[in-house]
Amino acid sequence: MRQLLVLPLVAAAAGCGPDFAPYNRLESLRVLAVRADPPTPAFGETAALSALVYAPPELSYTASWSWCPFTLGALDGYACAVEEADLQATIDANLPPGVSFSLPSFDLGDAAVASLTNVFVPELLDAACRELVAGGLPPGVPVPDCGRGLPVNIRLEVRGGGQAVVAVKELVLRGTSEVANLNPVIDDLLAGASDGPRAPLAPDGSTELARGASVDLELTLDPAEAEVYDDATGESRSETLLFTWFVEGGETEVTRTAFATGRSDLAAAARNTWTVPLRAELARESALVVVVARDDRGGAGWIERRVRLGEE
Amino acid sequence: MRATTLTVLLLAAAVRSAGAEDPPPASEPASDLDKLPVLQTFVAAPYPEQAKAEGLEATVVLLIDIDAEGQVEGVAVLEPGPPGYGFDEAAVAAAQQFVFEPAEAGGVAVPVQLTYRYRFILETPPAEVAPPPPPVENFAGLLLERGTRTPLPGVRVTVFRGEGEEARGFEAFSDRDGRFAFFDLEPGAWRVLAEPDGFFPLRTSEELVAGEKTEATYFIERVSQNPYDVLVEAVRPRKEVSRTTLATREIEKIPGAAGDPLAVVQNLPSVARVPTGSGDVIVRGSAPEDTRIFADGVEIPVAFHFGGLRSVVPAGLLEAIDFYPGNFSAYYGRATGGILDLRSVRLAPEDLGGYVDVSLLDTSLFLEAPVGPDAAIAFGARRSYIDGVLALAVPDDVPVGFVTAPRYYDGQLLFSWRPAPAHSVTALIFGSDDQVKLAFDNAGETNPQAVFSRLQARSSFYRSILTWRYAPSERFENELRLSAGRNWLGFSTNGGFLFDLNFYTNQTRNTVRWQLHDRLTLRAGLDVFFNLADTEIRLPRGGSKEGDPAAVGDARQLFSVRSEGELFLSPAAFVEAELTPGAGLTVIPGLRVDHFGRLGETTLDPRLTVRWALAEQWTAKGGVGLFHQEPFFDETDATFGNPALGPEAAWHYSLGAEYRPLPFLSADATLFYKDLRALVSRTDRVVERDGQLVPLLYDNRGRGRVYGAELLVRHELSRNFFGWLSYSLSRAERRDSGSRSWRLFDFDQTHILTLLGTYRLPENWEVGARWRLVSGNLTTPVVGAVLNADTDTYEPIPGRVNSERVGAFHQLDLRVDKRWIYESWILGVYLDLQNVYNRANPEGVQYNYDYSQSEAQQGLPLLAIFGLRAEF
Repeated sequence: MRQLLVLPLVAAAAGCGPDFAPYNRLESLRVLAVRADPPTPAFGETAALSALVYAPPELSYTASWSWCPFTLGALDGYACAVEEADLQATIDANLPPGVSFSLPSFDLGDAAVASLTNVFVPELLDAACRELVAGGLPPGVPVPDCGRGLPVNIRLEVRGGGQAVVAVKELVLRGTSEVANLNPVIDDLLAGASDGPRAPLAPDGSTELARGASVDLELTLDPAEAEVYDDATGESRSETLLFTWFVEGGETEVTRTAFATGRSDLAAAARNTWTVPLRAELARESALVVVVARDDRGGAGWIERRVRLGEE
Repeated sequence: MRATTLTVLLLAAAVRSAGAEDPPPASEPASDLDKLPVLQTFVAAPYPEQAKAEGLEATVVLLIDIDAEGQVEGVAVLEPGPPGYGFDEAAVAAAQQFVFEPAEAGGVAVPVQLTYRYRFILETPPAEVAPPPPPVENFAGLLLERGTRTPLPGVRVTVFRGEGEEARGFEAFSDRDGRFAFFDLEPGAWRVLAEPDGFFPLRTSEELVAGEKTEATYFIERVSQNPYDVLVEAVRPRKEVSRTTLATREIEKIPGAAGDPLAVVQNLPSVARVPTGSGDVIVRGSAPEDTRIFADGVEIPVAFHFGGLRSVVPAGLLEAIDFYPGNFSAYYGRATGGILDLRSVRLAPEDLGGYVDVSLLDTSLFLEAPVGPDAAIAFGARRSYIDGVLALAVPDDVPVGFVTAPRYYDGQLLFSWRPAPAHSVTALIFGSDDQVKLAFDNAGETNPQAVFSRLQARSSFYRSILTWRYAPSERFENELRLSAGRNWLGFSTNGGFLFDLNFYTNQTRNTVRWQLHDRLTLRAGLDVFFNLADTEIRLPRGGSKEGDPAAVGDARQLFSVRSEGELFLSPAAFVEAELTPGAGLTVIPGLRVDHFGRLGETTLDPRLTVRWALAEQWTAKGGVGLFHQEPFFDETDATFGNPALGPEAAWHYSLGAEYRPLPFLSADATLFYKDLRALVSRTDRVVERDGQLVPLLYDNRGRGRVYGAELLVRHELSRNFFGWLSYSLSRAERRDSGSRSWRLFDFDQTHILTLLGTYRLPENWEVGARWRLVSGNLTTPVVGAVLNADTDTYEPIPGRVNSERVGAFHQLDLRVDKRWIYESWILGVYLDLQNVYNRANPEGVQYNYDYSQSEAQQGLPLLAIFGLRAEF
């Protein structure tokens, strides 16, 4: 750990970092965020699954959704560890006579918005989770924390222009103990010169910013979006909000900001500076600015604005 | 009638009066010794009866070998007495019973060879003569080495005046303190001449005044001022299959090591190259933790300060480094890889002395001084100023501030006392402290999964070691070592991560060596180790282990452990016999019993080493042995690991030969095989613990095997050159729990070639070069990546672990040293140029955010390190 701390600093000092595009530069097909609404569906609730996908102009893409209750770990790409038919057969074999249970199809379709309903009775879900940990887990599947309900995996595959992008998200099907969560909501995105007033960027893309200008960006949101909740030990905690600032061209001062009680304040986390791209950097007449907000309990929200690029 | 002895050649250095017998050449130049052998026990030879009857006197010149203990190893007749009377036999028999106080060089007892004249004189009644008037000392002097102020003993000093028939001259020899004296010299001008070997001649004149005593101090400069000149290496007999001893003074100037003696270990065969910035010692492909670091036989937690820039013990305090890549003695345990034992210096200062060393990285101070005739004390301290260098080097726009910039301290206090010839006491207190605290302007850029704005890390330890050595005779020796200390390792963020390990550690060792017979020596001992641990941890499970292609664990899910006063007692006992049945054969069977308190398990390690001197120049050697060690602390923790883990084991097999065609040239070749068993390995299995099913996390089902060959060709300092060639050819493989296939260990390096040498030039210049050629580092390819939409990070999908290699590493380092000698101090300057031809050596592969692009991660470019040292 000590070396990890020192060496990047030395490398930075030596100016020997790699020449890769920054994380937040939007250039090719990407998934920027996946959202479930509600983020932790209780029994009987249906979560609407949507994604924020960036595709360069003229590029069309397709999306396909799926879910899986037992996936392998990150090192295996979160591949599903069970076949739907096999799992349904196992469930059927263990049900009392006369009782039927139909597992939601793993395939959630290819619509822009998919949905998954929590069909698991909380008490049965907890019991099933513990039963699975006791020996029924497929090989290679990380052991879930049954105190959190049943975490299942949502998978989105986006294809276009010869590219395939995969994004995964954990969706906690709430059992008896998991506390409900809400997605964070960003109210608006303002822009202005650093020493001047800031105004909302128009949703219709009519706001014009001069190429090469240094523009302050500011989010407006309710501080209560960082929810206060009781964790599994009963301790009261406040969510951390993480903001990722994506731009189609130019550079931002930072890629991510964070609001965490006691570590950074919301006013600082809601601000960034964007150097609007020159024509040499981005020839098209407009540019996209996207900010994604995530809490640390699986909630996500975003705001996207297109601005016209004026003369330098 | 009496038999008496006369002048001894080396002892002639102590004879004050002019006209002592001319010393023939000795095996070690007297000027190389800082203490001459002193005859403690003289045995009179019986006068041969026939010679006595005939009134015949005789002189027998003997050549006596004295070992480092002062015992006579052998006696040979150089110039025999009159034949047929038995003078030779009587003289040899008597000399074999002599006992000497051993000679010393560099504070270390050394073996010497001396010529001894045994004169048989018939006793005659003393003549009644009037006592002569006492001589008057009117000219006295002191001979010191220029720069170091080391006394020059045994130097002939001549005073003379006049020419032709008027010429008059007298001679005297300097004593062990470098002092000489002349008596009853006439007033007036006298020319003074002294020409010690290896020094520039002293030619001066003094004006003596009647009735006054003239005193002078002369500083004489070495022809080439170099520590090697005064180095008389006390060569310990080799008993292991593979042991390399590096005398600190030999290796301080090796290129690429920036003056750090411990860094030189990484140039030996069997030691893998580690990237710049890593202080790991990787021996025969094993994981770093398999090699244990000792200081005077007591385990210490780290060898280097952070980044591997400097070892935690400075050169001034080290006498030598013993390195064992495998098949080590039963004296050492709790390690399945290698052993690195740092031997503290044996203090023997004549006066207050020391050095100040200033380099780009740090400044160190070392002082030593005698405390009365039988004791000495030394003090060392070092402080880095990397914090200051970073403050200048890191651009202002880096969004990190240093609350405490990276810095390290270390300090040492050494006291040695020899209250009686059979007793010696040493007290060593030393410690090290590394610390860094960072403040991040933007918490969002730290860790998306566990945001923090402040981070601090600290690693420190200290040890106090008291050693009492009792050696009443050559056949018996007892060494008691009491050690107490503390290890503290901490890391925390204000985002919730906390790692706080606080160990109070105690190690008590008692070792007895007892020579029961000329052909049998027993060595046995106790090695009791205990830790009292206070622990507080709040971290994700997983971390990064050997073979992990990426860090494992979800940083959003923290697990906590807190304990106080947890006691782990790990006693061990060992015994080994050294059998020398003859014909050059040495067989050392050994047995070590270890109880691992943390694991609640006891292990039994049989070991065997055989050495066979086939001829004067050839020695065959071999060894087999079993070795055990504990898993990492976290791996046996109930929350972060598996408390049911057992110790890891390794069988070492080695076979080799040593060849010494010339006194200064040796070659050592070894074939080795290491069978690693019960390795700790990750597992997906679950286990019931306290009525709950929990992930097992680790088990002992890992296996490993390492095999290869090593070659070391070493040219000791001779003809102004010192250097070696080392080459290793090896393969290190591992099979993880639940896997049927073998993979390469992280630090498998097929070829490791090192060529290095230093050459001494006139005018106190010295140049050195090191060139290394090493197989490229292993990497695990990334075959894809998935966006984790919850953490906003791409997670790589690795291919086969360690299945690819980056390009080979090769690098040339150069070093130039220059010393200026002043009367009472020496100024040394060095320039260490690393990566002279600016090779862009690949150290690994780095990827862009989604792993779709990659670039070689390159090592450091051409780097110049400048330093200076003032010795006094």
